[in-house]
Amino acid sequence: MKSNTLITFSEELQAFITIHLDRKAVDWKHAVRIAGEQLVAIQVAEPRYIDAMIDTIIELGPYAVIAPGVALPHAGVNKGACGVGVSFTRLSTPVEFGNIDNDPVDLVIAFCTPDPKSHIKILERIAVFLSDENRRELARNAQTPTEVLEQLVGVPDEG
Amino acid sequence: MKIIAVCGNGLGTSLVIKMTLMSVLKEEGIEADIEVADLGTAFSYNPDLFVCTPEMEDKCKAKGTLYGLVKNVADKGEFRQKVLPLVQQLLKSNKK
Repeated sequence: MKSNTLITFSEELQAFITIHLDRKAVDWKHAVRIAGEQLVAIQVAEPRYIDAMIDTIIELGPYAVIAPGVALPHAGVNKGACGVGVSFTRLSTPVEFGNIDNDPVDLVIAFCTPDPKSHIKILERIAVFLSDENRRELARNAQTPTEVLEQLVGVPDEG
Repeated sequence: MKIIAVCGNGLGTSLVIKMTLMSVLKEEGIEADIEVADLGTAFSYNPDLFVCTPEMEDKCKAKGTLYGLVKNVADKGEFRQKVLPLVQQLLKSNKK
């Protein structure tokens, strides 16, 4: 059976990255929880960080959905983040976050950072991913987590 | 010109806004000072322009300040359409 999971550390970006494909979530909270649990599993965040991400969305609204079908849940640096980590979860069925422009969401990219600077390198790559419809489609259709990783943080083309 | 990208805690969305805007302004040959801020501290800056998502605007009403609103914070096309004209307008008025 092929693996739907990948955990890696990028020396270049100084970040842990975990990828989980085709997970089932009943609603957006569950989806954030699934993604957050991976951050806890690789020990870059404490369990309370998961609740903090959910609370942030409840408090500030579904603005975490920042591109079509993509959510970027996260919480503040003092909410139990202890390292730089990115948890990419692809859902088997999209869920609604309540964002009229970018719902429904099938790609949940949770991240945590212990300070406001350490995650900038990896977020630059994720910004490229978010701005590139082609990359997003390739990640949606990828058969393996390794293919997703290439699209998510792969070196951008020149120009 | 000073631009502040605002989001809930100044870590994620605002950083993506900053990167997208930097890339668009670079293509236009426009230089600007872009920083990120969270809702709590956004007031303490005095920028020429705030850039955020529509739901953030209500929560971040610094009076008399110009807002650029984007729904997809990584979409350069949307930034060209909605934020670039504001930046160009500011550039013009600053020259006068």
